[in-house]
Amino acid sequence: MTTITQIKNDPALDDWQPLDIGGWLRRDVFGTVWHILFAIILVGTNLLVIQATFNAAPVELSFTLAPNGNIGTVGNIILALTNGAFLTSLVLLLWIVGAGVVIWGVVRHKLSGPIQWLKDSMYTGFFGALTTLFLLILIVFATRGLLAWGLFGANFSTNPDAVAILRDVTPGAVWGIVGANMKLFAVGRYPYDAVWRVWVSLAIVIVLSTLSLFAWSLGSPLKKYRPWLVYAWLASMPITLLLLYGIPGTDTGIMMTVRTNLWGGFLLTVVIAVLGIVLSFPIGLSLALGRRSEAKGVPMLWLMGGGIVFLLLYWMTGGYPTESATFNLPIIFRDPPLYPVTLTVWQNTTLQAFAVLGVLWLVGYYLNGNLIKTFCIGYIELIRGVPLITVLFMANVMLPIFLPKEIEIDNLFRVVVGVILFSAAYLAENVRGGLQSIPKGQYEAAMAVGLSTSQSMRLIILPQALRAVIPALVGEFIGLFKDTSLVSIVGLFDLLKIAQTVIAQPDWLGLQRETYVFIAFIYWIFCFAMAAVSIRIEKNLGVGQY
Amino acid sequence: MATTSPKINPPAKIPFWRDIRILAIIAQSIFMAAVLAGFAWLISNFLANAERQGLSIGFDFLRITAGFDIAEGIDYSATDTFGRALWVGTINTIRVSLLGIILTTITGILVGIARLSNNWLLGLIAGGYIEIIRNVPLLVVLYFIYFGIVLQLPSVDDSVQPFGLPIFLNQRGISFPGLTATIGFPIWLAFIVLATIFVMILWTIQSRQEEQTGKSINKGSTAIVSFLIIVAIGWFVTGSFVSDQGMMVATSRNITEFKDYQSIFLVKIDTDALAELGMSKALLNQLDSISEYKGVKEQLYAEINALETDGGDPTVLQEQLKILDSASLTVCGEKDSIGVINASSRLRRLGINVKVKDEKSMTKASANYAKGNCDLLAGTQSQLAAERSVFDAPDAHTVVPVSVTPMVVNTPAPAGFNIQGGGRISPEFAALLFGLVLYTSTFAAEIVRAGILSVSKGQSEAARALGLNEGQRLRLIVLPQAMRVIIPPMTSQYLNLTKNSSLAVAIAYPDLVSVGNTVLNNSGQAVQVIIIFMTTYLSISLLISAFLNWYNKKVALVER
Amino acid sequence: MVKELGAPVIVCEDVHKWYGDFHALRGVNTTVREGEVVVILGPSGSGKSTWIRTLNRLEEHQRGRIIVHGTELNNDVRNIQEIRREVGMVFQQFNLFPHLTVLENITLAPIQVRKWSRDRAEEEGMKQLTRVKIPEQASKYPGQLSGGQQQRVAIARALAMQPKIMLFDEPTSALDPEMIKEVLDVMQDLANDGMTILAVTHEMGFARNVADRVIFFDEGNIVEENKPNTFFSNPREERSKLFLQQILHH
Repeated sequence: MTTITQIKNDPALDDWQPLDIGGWLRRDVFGTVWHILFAIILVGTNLLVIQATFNAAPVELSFTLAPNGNIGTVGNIILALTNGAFLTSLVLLLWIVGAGVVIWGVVRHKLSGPIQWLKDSMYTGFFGALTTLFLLILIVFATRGLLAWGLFGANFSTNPDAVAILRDVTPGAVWGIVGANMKLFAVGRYPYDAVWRVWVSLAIVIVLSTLSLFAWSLGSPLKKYRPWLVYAWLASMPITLLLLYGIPGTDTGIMMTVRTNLWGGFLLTVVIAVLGIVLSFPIGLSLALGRRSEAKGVPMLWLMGGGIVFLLLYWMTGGYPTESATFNLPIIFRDPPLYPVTLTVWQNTTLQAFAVLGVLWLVGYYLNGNLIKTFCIGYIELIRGVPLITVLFMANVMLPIFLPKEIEIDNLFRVVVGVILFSAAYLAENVRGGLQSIPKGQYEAAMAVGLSTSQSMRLIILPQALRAVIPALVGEFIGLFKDTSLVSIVGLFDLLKIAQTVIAQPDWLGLQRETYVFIAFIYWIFCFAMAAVSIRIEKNLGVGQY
Repeated sequence: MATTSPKINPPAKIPFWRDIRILAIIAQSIFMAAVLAGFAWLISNFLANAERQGLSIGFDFLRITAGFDIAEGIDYSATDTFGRALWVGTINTIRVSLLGIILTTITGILVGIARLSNNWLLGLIAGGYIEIIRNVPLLVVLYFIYFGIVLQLPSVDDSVQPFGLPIFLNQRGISFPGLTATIGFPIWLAFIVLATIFVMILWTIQSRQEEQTGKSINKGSTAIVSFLIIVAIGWFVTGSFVSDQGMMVATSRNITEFKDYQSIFLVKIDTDALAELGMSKALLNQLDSISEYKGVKEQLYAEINALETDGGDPTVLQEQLKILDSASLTVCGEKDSIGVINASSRLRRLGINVKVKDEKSMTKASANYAKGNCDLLAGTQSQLAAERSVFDAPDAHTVVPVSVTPMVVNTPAPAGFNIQGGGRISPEFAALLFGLVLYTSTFAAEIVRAGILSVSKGQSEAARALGLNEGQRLRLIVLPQAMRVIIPPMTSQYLNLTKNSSLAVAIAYPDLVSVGNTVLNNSGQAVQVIIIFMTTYLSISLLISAFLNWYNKKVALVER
Repeated sequence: MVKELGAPVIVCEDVHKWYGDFHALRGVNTTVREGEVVVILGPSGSGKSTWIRTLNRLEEHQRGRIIVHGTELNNDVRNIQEIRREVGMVFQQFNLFPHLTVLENITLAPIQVRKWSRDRAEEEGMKQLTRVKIPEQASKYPGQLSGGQQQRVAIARALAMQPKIMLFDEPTSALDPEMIKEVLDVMQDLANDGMTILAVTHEMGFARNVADRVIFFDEGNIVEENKPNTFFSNPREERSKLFLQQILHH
């Protein structure tokens, strides 16, 4: 006993620590070395960048600003403002002034609003301030480079002959390709005489959108016209389609038929996206309801019975194997890629029976025999597991093979079918999310007051669920709008495909960057605007209504 | 019912058209029957159409010779089957997706954190990048990168070398230094395994010690340092043990050590031509060592630059430079063998220009050497000894051993119309990978940001109140909770990336869809090819989500 | 006070329910007569809520028979609809429809189920709102009301269908103490007007003063049925005594 107490009280032992070389390395060596190294890297990078930007070559001016090398007044001003030394010095000066203000504020304890902000978000310590300098220079010179390419050195002439002569002396972008092909970008090969019909359709949509935005905002006097607006929207679809297509079979006159192979550009992009989302909506809704369905399923006995009846029918109508058969299993990671399996009559029939009954057993056991739910889950997961492009290939190549040979279908129609099949699965998942957000009490209350299942869905659940998923639906539409660019791969002349044909024009050969930047900008503007509108709708619907 | 009370009538029989159960079964049976009938109709149409168009129904076409080439991927030639071609495409899909997922994770985390940075400018740049890229279709991004940037790169002759690094960007792709394992690699690998085991044991012992004494030991640093020490020892031990590589040279050249190669290289400089072009005696005399050779070249560069700015005519000096550059040693050997890579990279490191003459086999290479077409023959010592014994005068050649490190850096170098050596990725692969990562990272970054923001401030405050330091707070409190929020949406982004890799078809990177499309066009078996597409993508999707579900569960459990 | 009780309106005979392996109701047998006010007591998890919810088929019973107003509750779709029309229900969490105004909440079922004209439904709705003393809130949304007001709207919603029977599933449990009284007052008025009421509640005062009968539930079955006074002063079963001791100690 005594020895133990003695040892415990021995001050020498209390001070003893296990040899901690790692800790010493990290705390005392690595820490300092790391800080010094980081400081050297930051300062060094800044010095290198400053040196590079200070000596940056002057921007090259376009022919307009400097015809035949004679730089005009505007050109001179631009050259002076974009001069590397000037800009670098300006940035450095601003940075130093900022640093001075912050230091002054810290020393004099005068950290009022803007100075506090500067300290917190631009000059957070030594490393933060150096990072800020680096980023400032980066931003300023990236902007300078963009302007030099897109504006100061650019050529805006839309006359191909003039551009052909000036191409060699144009240091920046040749924007003429955009201006000269504006009609192609907008509507593709849609005939000139009928373009007014596109404008009318556009006007209808814009008027309806404006009215709707107004009618669905808070406390709007138009609230009571909401049902009429819904009808107007429903009616506008066939009307605009009729306007765009014309009266079938007429080749002349103001309503002459414009075949869909002439539709193109932004028009086609919008048509596919809108048709895709609108027509896939009912399918997606049904799939979501089906997947959420808790309806009584088919009991296991019935399932098995049905399976046996099916098998017997199949075998009796000629499906029964009479001799042993050889199957080639496609296993593509083998070489040769086929794996032959020979089955006797007995093995074959047993396999068939097991396959059919096994699947039915799984459905009965895991999904309570709910066949509709099974189908919906299968469809949604299948489609969501494969890329859009394969669905488009499928629609494009397989639809004609799977329909009777009498039915001839339009290329656009096929692609739209593909887009609808694809987007329905994603919509279904969004709607399902909304349905899940509705508390169980709402279903129970609806049942308790005596509403039937369809009434409670229509009047109670869906109005709330759909309202909850509007942001997600808009997001889905933005995604679909972007994804329509894939139809260019299967040969439709949407905005992207038009861009490719425009680049291939002999007059404008090789102007990839200009064209792609332009259409990227178009897509961007629309997606960004839709996202902004979505946020607005969310705000409008969110408060007060409940 | 035996105990029916007088108040209750015996239960009435429910007509079947009003019975909930029966109604459900009927509705579902009708639905299923309609679906099955629809399928049956489609399939009968298909069978009729297939017969009319002479299409086969099974997968036997996979055995047919493909007859088209695939630009990159695992071993394949046009005489292989359609099945093999599809497999090559699948591997390519997996390769680009896997790399894409790794890079997207890294960029996503960096950008997500940058957006939350307290540096306003950094947040601005990250936010701008996210808002711009994610509102543009991926296909447009891909086209811009492929047609607008990658294909606009200079030709091989004018390859871009960023910051003078041994990385070459040109129309044929990107060449970069690669690592090649040598014969010594397995021994080194054994050392790595040993080090890992050692570190694990050390970690366990130290943890126990920590728990017993209650004093914190810096396990991480100790582990890293001891691991590095063992691995470094292994590197040198392996290097000194294994020297099976060698080079054969004419005995007359007096090579005993590796650096003696300088002398035979310097002889190769055409001094007569230089003198003719007017190079000064003093300069010519300097050309007797590698370092001075480099000095002369630098001096020439400087003079040419000076002449160009003054408006003088540098042609003569440029000619001189060309002659200096054209001097080189020629190495013969088997194509892509370690011998060649080892020899050429070591010679280049000495500052010697090297030309490589690859042959399909060692015999051909040695024949070439015997003819005097090359200065050296590289290979294993035993190979070289065997080849030498067949020569007419074996004594006229010596085999000089070359020591070998476990791995050799394989540096690319311009040679003729191409860049030789090193790793190379094709323009299509580069564009696809870059586009996918650029696009998907924006979504990943937003997910990371939301994940970090989802951990409430109270958690951080509680951690600080407990006295955890910043690193511990992030590692033990914030990250585990953020991961729970991050992983599910991140999984779907990984799946999106994998599916989006099918856009390769637009820029002709031979992925599954791209190859499959060619197979479809060549064989006409549309339905089967599309079935293969769908099953393959479904399997990949299921694999990824299964893996991440497993990981998700692990994270969730660790938390509790 | 002795009330004249009418014919039996709810008859339960050996009602069983299982949730998977859990036996929630174990052969409930009882009869409720017209105009009777029944309060159901019992510890949580005893099956009292489950039982009251089987009476309008929010939960399905798997064995035994339930007959409401002469209509048997079984798999017959028409019977289920008929019974739900005649039985009003009030929930613990109110379950008002948040996207509809108070008046729309009340008139929805009469218009959709009873096929009344909008005018008639609104007239009836205002009458019921007056009955629960909040006619001035008709055009507000549920989210703008207090808990007590919401529960009274829920009662008015159930009454607007002119039910013969009212089921209350812990109507005051989610309310602040000062709002409980306004809801209980409405329930007492209803009882005085002769409505048949089944209420699951922990309000002992309500049970003592208003109820005609107390049913005590435990472990999925009725343990004791008694007059309120006898139940509270001199319970028959040991289990009931224990329960009363526990709640009265608080």
